[in-house]
Order: sequence, then structure tokens, then C-alpha cells
Amino acid sequence: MLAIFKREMQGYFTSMIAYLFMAGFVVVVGIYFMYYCVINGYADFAGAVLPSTCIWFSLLIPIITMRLWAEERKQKTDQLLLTAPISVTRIVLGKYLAVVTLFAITLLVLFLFPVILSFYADVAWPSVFTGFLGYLLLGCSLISIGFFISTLTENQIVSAVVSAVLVLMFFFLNNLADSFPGRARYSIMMLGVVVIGIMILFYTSTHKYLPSAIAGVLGIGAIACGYFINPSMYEDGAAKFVNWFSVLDRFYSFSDGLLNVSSIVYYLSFVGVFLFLTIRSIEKKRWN
Amino acid sequence: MIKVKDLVKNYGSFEAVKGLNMNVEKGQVVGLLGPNGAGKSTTMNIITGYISATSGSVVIDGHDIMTEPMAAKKAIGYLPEIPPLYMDMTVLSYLKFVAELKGVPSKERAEEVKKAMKAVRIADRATRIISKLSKGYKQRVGVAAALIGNPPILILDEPTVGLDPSQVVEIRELIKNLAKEHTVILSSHILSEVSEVCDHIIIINNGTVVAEDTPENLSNAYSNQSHVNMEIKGDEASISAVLDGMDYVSSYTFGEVVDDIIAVKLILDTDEDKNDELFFAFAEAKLPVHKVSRENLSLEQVFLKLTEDEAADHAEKAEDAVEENAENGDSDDESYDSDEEAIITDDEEESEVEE
Repeated sequence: MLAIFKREMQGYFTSMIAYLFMAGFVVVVGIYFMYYCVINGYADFAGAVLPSTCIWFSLLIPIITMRLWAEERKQKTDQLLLTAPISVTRIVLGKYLAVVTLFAITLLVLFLFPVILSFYADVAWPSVFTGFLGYLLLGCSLISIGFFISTLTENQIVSAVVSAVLVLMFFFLNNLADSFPGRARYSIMMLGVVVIGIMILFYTSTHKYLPSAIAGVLGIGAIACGYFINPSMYEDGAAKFVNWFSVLDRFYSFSDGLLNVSSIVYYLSFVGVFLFLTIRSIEKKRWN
Repeated sequence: MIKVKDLVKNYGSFEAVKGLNMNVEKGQVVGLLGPNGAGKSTTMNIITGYISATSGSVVIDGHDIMTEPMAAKKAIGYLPEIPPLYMDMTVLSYLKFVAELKGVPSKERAEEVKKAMKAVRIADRATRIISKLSKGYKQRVGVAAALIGNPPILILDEPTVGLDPSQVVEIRELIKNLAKEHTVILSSHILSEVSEVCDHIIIINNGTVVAEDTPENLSNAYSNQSHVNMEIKGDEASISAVLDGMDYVSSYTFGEVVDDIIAVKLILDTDEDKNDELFFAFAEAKLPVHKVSRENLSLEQVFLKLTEDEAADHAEKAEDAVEENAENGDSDDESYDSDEEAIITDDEEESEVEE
């Protein structure tokens, strides 16, 4: 795992990518810093500057995640990694930690902005710290999405574009969720569609009717059970479900200076889910 | 050392490997031979754990690759068809990375890397960036990476493809050296390479093993024809008269004439040695025989025969080869041409299949 981590860091810093990524962040944050803090005189770095720059994640995160697995497949170096006596989980963790470290280093550089600001104004340090923590966690979540997308294709450009679009989508999900009809039957209908989707997935991957039929029966059974036990859980179900994915919402509490444990757990589990999907996606390639 | 049992691999509806069985003993140098697209690379990828089999089992040194992948992978050094090199690294840093990846303890890493570089003679290129190396050197770095960790088994997928002739010779020498201490499996679609380096040949076609033996036995077992090259003093008409009277001579061709001595090539319908009979028959007709030499069906032809399938071009290639053999002996340019053509069409076929 350490070998993968070191190799990955070396790869970032011997190529332009690390510098490009860090420069991109410094420029973006610098522009907002100029606008809010220098020109308009706001001292609230965490509350004003950081949330405004989040939208740029969609452009900057894919720069460091696009090559993670796509490049390995293209250069066939995945053959070295997958035939070495090391598990896929370790490979994925090694790579992920390298990207997160690169991002953390970038944040250290960005930390210079509030330090500079503190020479001229009173900076609310607690909110700066929580803001940066939120920024880190948000970045970690988006990096895990980018990593997952990178395992789906050999083409870095495709990987980058899909990641960027997906990150944007995740940002705007809460707007989307507001427009969903709230009645229970819509949630049930949506769950039904999900169950049918799972059935199709089972059938296409196994070419047997039995597993997909069992999955269908179990899925419908679960929906029915949920309805009898607690019908109210389906109220606004679709919106609740979609809102789970809206990573940006949770960030705002951090930038407001709140250290919210549930949000930390949320981000960590989000990362966990996507790293799991990444591992599965790499393993699946070997079975095809 | 390696036991492969009933291996099946399907890519969608395409069956790349269909029930392949093979056994490799410790210390053997085994050549996997087959036309491109026969399933060699797929088999190697399964043995090394890069991809998984649809069904069947692979046991490496007592460890099943599916249930004990770590132990099995530790026993193998693998050089895939395209060496898995990080182009942005130097040779040294790449090999150090591989050593760390393979779990070589940090104290032994430097020594291990040095040993591997010495074995493939790339120590003088240690600080070069890999992308700047020539193809032959890249291949050697790939071999060095496979050697790191001192695995008892080496699996080399087409180690000489794309190298120039002198590099090919070098890599072959290297493999011969490695074979002294390792069990080696190498794949190739070039026969001369396999017969030169390996002591055991497994011929694969369409995802199954079609023949398996030592190079000598293979070439003996599959010849039911033999070729005889003769040089006789006399004229064509009287030689024809003698040959036409023999029922085991299926065909003959005349070659060059030097000082009244004519080169004649015979194809006999039997694999028995008829040299004496031929000699006395010509002696009776007062035609002095200057040379008689008999050759068995070459390994090349055995290979083509075994891998001959419904595809028309395969049949054509076999014919080419037989023709070529009929002209064997005098270095006829045309015969070399046809041989090369056969190899080229083979390559094209591969790229189609693989894509």
C-alpha cells in the first residue's frame, strides 16, 4: 500500500498535474479572496470565500482523479498491480490516500490566505478551521467519485468529463429534489423502478431467470414491508433519497463554524461507498 | 509446480479458452505455442491472476490462484505481452517500486534490484527515464521486474515480439540463463524460438491443447511423410525413369545442375528410411548418387498441421510450408517470402481477434 502511495505521489509531482491542480486552486481561491476580502473588506474567509469556490471543484477534482485507473489500464500497468501479491483494496486505498494527500497539501497552501488576512483584520479562526475541515471532507467525497469514474473507462478525457458532470449534478441535486412530488406513491413507484433495474442487472450479468426473479420478489417484499410498518417513511421519500447525495449542503454548516459530527460521518460513509464501488468495479473487469 | 485443470474462459459468447489442461513440472522450460488468438495470453493472464477463469482451476506450487491468491502470486514473476512499465519513472525507481510492491523487505530491496539489473544487463541504464529507452531495453526492464522477489516461476508472454534480430538473440540467451534457476513458461507464435529455448512444448489452438511433448518427439510423432534430398549425376530423363518405378515416391522436383550433377527433392509417402533402397536403385541404373539426405517433417510443419483449422488461410499456409520444404536446401528467396507472408497474415489475424 505504501509502495502504491509513494509511486502515485511521485507520479503527480514529476508530471505537471500536481502543480496544475495546486495552481488552479490558488488562482480560484485567490480571485474570490480578492473580491470578498481585499476589495469588499469581508473578514469572514470561511463563510464568504470557501463556499463560493466549491463550484470549481467540478473542474479541478477531475484533473487529479481522471488518470487514477484509466491510465493504468491504458498503459497496461494494471497487469503489474493486479498480478502482484497485494489486494485490490490496498491498491485502491494507496491511490486514494495519495490523491487526498495531494489535496491536503493544496489546502495547506490555501491556508496562507486567512493567515495573510489576519494581519489586517480579525479572523474568526474556529470557523476557518471547521471551514477547511469541511472543504477537505467535501474534496475527499468528490475525489472518491472521480476515482470510481476513472475505473469505468480507459480514456482519461472521458473520465474527466463524466466526473465533472457528475460532480456538478451532485451539487445541484438539492434544487432538483425540491421539485420532486412528495406523495408516498411516487416514492414507491421510484423504488419499483429501482427494483426492476436491479432485476435487469442480475439477468444481464448471470443470464439466469431465477436470481433476477428472487431479487424482484425480495425487493417488492421489502417495499411492502416498509409500507406496513411505517407508511410515513415514504413521504418525500424520493427527495430524501436524492438529498442524501447532495454533498454540498453539508459543507455549509462547516463553513458557518459548526463542527457537525453527523456530517463528518456522512462524508466518511460517502467516501466508503464510493471506494467500495471502485474496488468492485476493478474486480468486475477481471471477471468479464 | 503449475497445474491447470479444465480451464474455461468466455468473453461474452466468445470462448477464448475451452477446457485447457496442462501440467508444468519444477525446472521445466515450457513453450506455449499457437497461432495468435489461440488463447495463450488469456491462459497466462489467468495463471497469473490478472483475470479470472469462467471455470476450472489453476494451482501454483500448491496454492490455488482463486482461494490463495497472495501465496500463488508471490511464486510468479510475470512479463505480460506489453511490459507494464511506468514511463515517467527511471529504471531504478521503477524496479524499487516493484520490489516494494512485491513485499521484498526494505533491507533487501537495493540488493534485489541490483541483482535483477545485473541479470538482464541494464545496470548502465539505471538512471534513465523508461520512456526514453529502446524497445529491447524496455523489454529487459520488464524481465528484470519479473525477476524481482526471486519467484520460482517465470511466465513470459511473447518476450521477443517486436525486437530486432540481435535483441531477439540476447533475450533468448537471457531466458536460457534464467531457465537454470527458474521454472519458465513462455509463449510464442514463432516456432524456432520455442524449439531452441524450451524442453517441452505445448501447442494450443482454439483454446485447447492440441499437442504436448518435447520438440524432438513432436516432430517425430507427427510426420507420416519424409523428404529426401539427393544429388545424382545423370540426366533428368533417366532419373525420372528410375523414380517413376518406385511406388513410395509421391513426387519429386529437379533443382540446380552443377557439372552434370542434378539436385533432386523427393517426397516419400512413408516415414521409413529408404536411403539405401534409393541408392541401390540408382546404382543399378548406372546413375552415381553423390548425396542422399533424409529429413523428418520439421517442427514448423507439425505446428501448422496441428493448428490447421477450418479457416482457409491456415490450409494455405500449410501448403506454403510444404512447398517451401520441397524446395528446402537451396536457399531459394521465394520460399522465404512465402514463409514471411504466413507470419504477417498471422499477425493481422491477431489484431482482429484481440480487438
